Amino acid sequence: MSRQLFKSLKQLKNLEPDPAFLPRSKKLIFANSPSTIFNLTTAWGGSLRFALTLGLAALVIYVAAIFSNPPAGGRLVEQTPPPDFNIELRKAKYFREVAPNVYIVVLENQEKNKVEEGNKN
Amino acid sequence: MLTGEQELIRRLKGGEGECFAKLYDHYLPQIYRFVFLKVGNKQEAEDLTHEVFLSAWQNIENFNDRGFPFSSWLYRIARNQVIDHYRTKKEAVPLDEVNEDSFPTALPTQSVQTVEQRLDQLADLNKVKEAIKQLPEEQQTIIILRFVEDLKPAEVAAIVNKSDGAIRVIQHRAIKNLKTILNSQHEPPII
Repeated sequence: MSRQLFKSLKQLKNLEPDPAFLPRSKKLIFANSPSTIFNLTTAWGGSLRFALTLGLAALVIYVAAIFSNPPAGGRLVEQTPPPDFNIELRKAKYFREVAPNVYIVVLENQEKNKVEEGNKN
Repeated sequence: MLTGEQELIRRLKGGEGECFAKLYDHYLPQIYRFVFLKVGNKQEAEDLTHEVFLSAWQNIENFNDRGFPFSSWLYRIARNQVIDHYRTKKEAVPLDEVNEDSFPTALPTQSVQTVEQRLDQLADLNKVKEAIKQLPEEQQTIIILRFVEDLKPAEVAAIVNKSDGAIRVIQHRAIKNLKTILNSQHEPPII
């Protein structure tokens, strides 16, 4: 039984496809050009890989820069001297007291100039 | 393995599509046989075999040579195609579709045989073929690859993704089941 079974199994190896099937199938397969498919895939894959690598490198540089040089904003605030409010108040007092006097002097000068011009004419 | 197969694949991956034709010519008969013995229908076997090679052609970039011939990859694709075919197929393939046309060259004409001997042999082959179809899918695959295609257990193991030991166990079980099925076919019908 076993011997006959193995003999039969070996004989199944003589099974062959229809000779007309081969050229028909081959023609259809070659009609789907894989060279275009896989070349495009490779090209896109390559570009994508390149873009990803570039993006990752930029990110790493950015992160490294941030960690080695933290934003200067904090330090600038620290370095700015605190405002001297006494000076500011003094300036305000000066303008409040002096400005009306300056204004009066300017008006007097203008009046004086008009009178002088009238005399000349 | 086809002579210079690795070089052919390297050139094929490099864009030389004509190299695929050599692989196709060499491996088509065995892939067709594998599919045919599983589906038992000439037309479906042709369609599925075509799909196997089309898939290989379109996915050649994914092929990784792991020391086994290109056929191992083709068998894996073929096996998946057949499984998908049965998964999506609504109606079952009737076993009586198996006929003498299935074995166009099964009987060597050069040997000296009487017509009766040849018919007996043909009947035996059809019985074996039908019996294979009744086995579970994994056992079918192992019987075909080990005893029809004469592949080594290691190669079969790579195709079905199991260990050598597991292949031997399944093979033993498959032979036992095949004998049981054939014995039940030989029993005279109860009248």
